Amino acid sequence: MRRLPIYLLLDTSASMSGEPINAVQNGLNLLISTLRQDPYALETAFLSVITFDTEARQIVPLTEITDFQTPDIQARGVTALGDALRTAAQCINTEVQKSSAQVKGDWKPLVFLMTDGLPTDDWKPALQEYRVARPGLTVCCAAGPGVDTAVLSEISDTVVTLDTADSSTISAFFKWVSASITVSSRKIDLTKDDAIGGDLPLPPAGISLIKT
Amino acid sequence: MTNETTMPDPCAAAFSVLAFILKAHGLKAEDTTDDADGQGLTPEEQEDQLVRAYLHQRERNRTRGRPEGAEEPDIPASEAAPPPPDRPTPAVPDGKDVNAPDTARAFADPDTKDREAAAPPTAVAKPDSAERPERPGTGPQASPVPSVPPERVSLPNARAKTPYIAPPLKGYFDLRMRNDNGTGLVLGADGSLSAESMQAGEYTIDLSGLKDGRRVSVRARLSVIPRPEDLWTSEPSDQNAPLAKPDEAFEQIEGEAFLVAASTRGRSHAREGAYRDDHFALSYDADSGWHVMVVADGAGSARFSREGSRVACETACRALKTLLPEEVDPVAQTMVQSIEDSHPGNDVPAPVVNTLMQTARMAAQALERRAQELECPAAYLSTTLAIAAAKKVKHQWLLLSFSVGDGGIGLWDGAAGAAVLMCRPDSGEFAGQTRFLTLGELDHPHGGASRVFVEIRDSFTAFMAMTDGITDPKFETDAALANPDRWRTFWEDDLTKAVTFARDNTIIKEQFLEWMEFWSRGNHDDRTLAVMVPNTPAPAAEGTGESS
Repeated sequence: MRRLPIYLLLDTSASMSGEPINAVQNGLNLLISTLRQDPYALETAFLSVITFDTEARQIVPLTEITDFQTPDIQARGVTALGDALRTAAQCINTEVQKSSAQVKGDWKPLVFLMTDGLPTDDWKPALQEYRVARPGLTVCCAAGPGVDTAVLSEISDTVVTLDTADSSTISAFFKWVSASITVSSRKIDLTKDDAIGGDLPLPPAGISLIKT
Repeated sequence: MTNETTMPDPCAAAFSVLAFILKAHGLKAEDTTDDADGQGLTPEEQEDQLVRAYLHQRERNRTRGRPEGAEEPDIPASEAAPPPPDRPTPAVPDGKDVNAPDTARAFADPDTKDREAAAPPTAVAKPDSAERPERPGTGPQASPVPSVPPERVSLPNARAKTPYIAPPLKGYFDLRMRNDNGTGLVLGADGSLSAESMQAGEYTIDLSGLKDGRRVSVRARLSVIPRPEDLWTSEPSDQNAPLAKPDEAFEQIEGEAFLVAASTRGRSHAREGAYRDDHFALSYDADSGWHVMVVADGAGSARFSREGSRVACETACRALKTLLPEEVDPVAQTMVQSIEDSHPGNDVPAPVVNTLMQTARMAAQALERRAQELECPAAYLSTTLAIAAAKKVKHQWLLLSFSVGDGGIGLWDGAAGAAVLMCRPDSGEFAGQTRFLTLGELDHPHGGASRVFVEIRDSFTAFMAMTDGITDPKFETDAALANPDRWRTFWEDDLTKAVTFARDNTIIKEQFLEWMEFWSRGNHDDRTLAVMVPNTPAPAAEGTGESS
């Protein structure tokens, strides 16, 4: 079966402490409980969580929705965005099945990257590695006003900004991510083609979609 | 009222000494009976009680390796809440009697705590009830103790309505089930948790177990995930709307071969009350002896593709009725003769190529005309097309095929164990790319004669044409589609296990449509399968030429 791999890259640097990190934790719970009720996502979507602070870690490998358990996340350290991209590239290279004559590969992965600060590492070389891994659709989320959207715009054409990094806006973002995954898993089912940016649902109030 | 104040005078001195000793060891006067305050007991009884409690406490501290005087967090639920303000608040505010698993009191969730707290304390004296501390303010040492929150663990997720077994919880011995919260989970002797079938939902299972020699409460979180099968719903499509199409179709035709086809709506369409986009057409022309099967898969993204697949199938079927006898029949004898003389030609004869290409072109033109009538772009009618035609010529079967787009046409010869893939896979390098029937596609350099296939055989088991709703779940890849073993499995172990392809099978429609509903995760497309089975020579009584 062809899987729809979803990678969540979550900034867990110290600046996310308190309300934002709790909101992200709740957002993950919300996301997974929503996807469990959607037959398309339940059958095709596979989810991985990569957190990044001083370094990036894949805390949940690519896992089908049915088996996915929400990880506990903590905020600490700085913002190694480059390491996050590099880790995502490595995970995509090892986990996502490419198509061949013998194997019908997975759909191109969807990547949701959320950060609230400026990268503290050298992220540009990592971006090259990330691009080589050929993710399908990357959505960057600037959580709050402290984010340099110019950096995120270099990573992806699809950037959303949260007006504030409070719990209700972060919750709305995760709801939107759930909807995006649901829509994408349905779309690939109907059209048998990879999901693209134009397929994303309109984000709710408090979240602005920037197309560069 | 305290013990001291109720005590008769003569005993006061002795009791004070005892109380002092007890206090030095961190022990408090215990309530071993319903009469917690010791009222109504004789001084001797009270003294006896204190001594027993002391010995018990000392023994307990010794066996647990804890310093005497260290307090046990043994507070029944009813007494644990609310935590006194001068004590640190536990991280999880639902402290329970974690060391008294034999009491009937169930552990409470935070949200059910109030109800639990309101319940009357267990009235029956238990063997270990001497360990219970007295209530605040009633003993020599009045300070209450913090409760220990239950240890939280997560069980592997379960699937609804599916047998479940979780491996034994690590780090605990002598596990006991306290509350399965309606899941029906059973604790095995080895500490595993299992259930035959559970309803979807989020559950909390309360257990207790021995950890480092102490009995602790364990709260296990369990998610029972719905089965996707149960989340798919089915809405009939609107049969009164323009371009309506029945949600399923079945047809059988008898000629020199037996032709059967079925087409069903995919789950994704059924869920939304959308139309089936697939279509098929069968024909047998008794005059010419040609059998034709055409299947088409309207593009999921194209608005009126259900109409496109219908127009393509019907146009092709009609065109072949004329073109096959006119164009192919004149060369058919020669083609068969060359096989019988063991001099098979390398090339497909031009009339065969022309006939099939002309048919496809007419179908593509029909789509354009239909789009004009509907005043919509031709792309709204995008569809694939697969044609399979066969005729018995002398003692041989002449089998032709043509296709644009994915899906599959295959010939299975069970006796020889041979499968011939009679279509060119049109799937692209990347998952999901397929081609559709357009004049541009047919005129493209890669779109011409290489789409035409010819086989000449003296016998075969089944000639089949199908849309990708069948090939995706049953063959998965182009490589598998070319693998005879997969065709054998498909025919012998799958399809004919459920469907008997015989003219006298009166329930073939039910069998076929039921088989079409097979479950395949991630494959919800419309499904269309057309099968041609040559008449077996054995019963021979049946003539040919039934009109279709």
